Amino acid sequence: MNFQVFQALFDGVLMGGVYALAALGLSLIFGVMKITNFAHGAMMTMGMYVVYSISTHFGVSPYIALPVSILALFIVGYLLQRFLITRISNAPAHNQLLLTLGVAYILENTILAIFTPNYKTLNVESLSTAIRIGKLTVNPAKLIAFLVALVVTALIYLLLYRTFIGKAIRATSQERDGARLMGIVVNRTGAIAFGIGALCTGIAGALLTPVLSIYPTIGETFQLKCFVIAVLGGMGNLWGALISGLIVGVVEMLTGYYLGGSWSDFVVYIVFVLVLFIKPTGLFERRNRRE
Amino acid sequence: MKNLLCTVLIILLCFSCLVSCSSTETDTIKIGSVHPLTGGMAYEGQALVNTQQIAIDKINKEGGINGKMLELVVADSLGTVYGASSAAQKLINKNVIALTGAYTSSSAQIVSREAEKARVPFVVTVAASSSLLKNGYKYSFRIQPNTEVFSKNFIEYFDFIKTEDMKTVAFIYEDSNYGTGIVDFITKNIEKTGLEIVGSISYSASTSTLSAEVTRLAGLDPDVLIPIGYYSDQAMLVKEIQDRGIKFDTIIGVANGAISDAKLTDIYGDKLDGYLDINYRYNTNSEETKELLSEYRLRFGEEMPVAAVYGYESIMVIADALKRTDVYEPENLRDSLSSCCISDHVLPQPTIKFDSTGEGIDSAGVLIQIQKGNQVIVYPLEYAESDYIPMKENEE
Repeated sequence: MNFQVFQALFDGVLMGGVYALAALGLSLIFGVMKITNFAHGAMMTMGMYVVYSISTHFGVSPYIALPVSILALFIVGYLLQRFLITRISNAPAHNQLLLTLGVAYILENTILAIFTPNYKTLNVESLSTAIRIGKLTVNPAKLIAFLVALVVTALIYLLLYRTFIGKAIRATSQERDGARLMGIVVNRTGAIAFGIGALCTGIAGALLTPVLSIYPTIGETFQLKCFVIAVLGGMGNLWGALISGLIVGVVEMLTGYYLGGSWSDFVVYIVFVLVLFIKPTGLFERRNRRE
Repeated sequence: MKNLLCTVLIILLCFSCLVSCSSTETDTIKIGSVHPLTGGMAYEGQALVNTQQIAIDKINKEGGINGKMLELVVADSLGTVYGASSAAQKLINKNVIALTGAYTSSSAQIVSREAEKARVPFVVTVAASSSLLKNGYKYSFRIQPNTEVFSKNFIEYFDFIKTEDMKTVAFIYEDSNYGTGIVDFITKNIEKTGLEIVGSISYSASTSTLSAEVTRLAGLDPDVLIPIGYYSDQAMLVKEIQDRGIKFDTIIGVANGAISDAKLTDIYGDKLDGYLDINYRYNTNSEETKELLSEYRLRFGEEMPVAAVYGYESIMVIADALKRTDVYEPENLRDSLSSCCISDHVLPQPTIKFDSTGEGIDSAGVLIQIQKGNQVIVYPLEYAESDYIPMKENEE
């Protein structure tokens, strides 16, 4: 194999890992609450700006700012579900969609008002100078992003399958009323799940901050990509999101390499449509769903 | 689904109605400004509006137009064609004497159509597409060089930097009208440069990564790399090239949104020394420019983005035309604009005057190079701030 292709493949895997984490949040929220979160991109942007402002203000590494970003996004997600979305949980789907869309506008415009529309770049030299492994160049920030994304996915898995709250979240996602009858506080559980979904997105945003120039509407770039990945992996499926994130990352890079980035979305959507055509429920159906 | 669509449309409508600037004064002359103030291009849009306001304040401070004050009425184009169209209509309904705008070529196209319908002059601040003024419209004027002029400038200026060992060239460009327009023109005229094209890679401006494209470029290893795009995508390209330590003998952008922007050199300092770009710029030898730059710094706490100079100049051109008419009506202003000839201005070109299509006759880009972490003009020599230094010499 041409070495350059390998480099592109490698970069695709790294980027795919971060996409996967971002999509995981969306997938989780949909899986539990059956709500398509249109504020997802804006939450990602928020994660970026939290890291950016702490990192530049206190002059610390973006990874030290990461926990703050996690906490902030969890709180936003939790409150959003607890006080807004619960109120319309029985409303038609498009009302819920519009609510999250409204939240997206509010978040984006708040960021716009605070930070101005100017591009902000967090340039940490030690994070951006590429490491060379033979002929392969590795961007440290992207490598860290990839590894953290894997660890977080694993942690979320453990949380869902090895803890009580995880069991409660899964129960809520499978059978809301049944869970309530078993004594699970469904609203709070939903809010926690939403918070966890939001924080995944926040982490993904935070991890990308050293790699990109950020601006208030940057989340929109990722919003659709996250949908594609979440649907491709089977909404609500953790590992499905990870695998399809990697697939999208790799497809995007290889297309970029061979045809140029103009074709990336085109090819990604072709793959997307083909997969849905063959397997309408996504690549990986949720194991815990009993239809 | 239909319901959903309706609801979304209604909400969008409400949003667009919310953006309004009201004024009941009648003794001012209103100039409309259609620029993106939200969305991905809000930064540039806001910068243009900022310099327009500086120009308006300057004119008003000097007594206005024969005693009448100028007023800037701003409407957000949202960076979309739909938004630009409704913003233009809104401003026309507010009886502005002229429209200015619109930062993107697609928005400018729609504003020029609205202006033509309403018979209100439209002075383009920034929009580079060369097809913009080819509709035979009578009310549109453009000060900045279009993509065709930039491309011609490239062919001409390349001669100045050309050396024996420059044989191959590759393009990396964003895939809208602006990027493809420039690449098509240069490709058609490539034999004039004596270069051989080894790669032409396009990407979408809203991309979240350019790693694969840079990997490809590294493999092609052209002697000359021509990057064309907006700020965020081209900054991403530069970052990728710098981070991975990939060397190209010559990098020369054409109308590049990042290389000519001080934000980029603020990040990298002198690490980008040698990068070239053919772009518009202000004439630093002019006193008026120095005033404008320091006023911008004072008011907004940062360096003025280069493109914003056209916001300032658009108002200056309209004010000059207004001063030469007695009746402050759009029709008279149009006639006055078409006979405009300004030699005292902030641009690196002899005069500002328009041909019959409304295109600036003397409009041209200049060759800009990053030297010691600053963008300086190196060609044409009459506007040069410094000598050209081949990129390779910086690496040695």
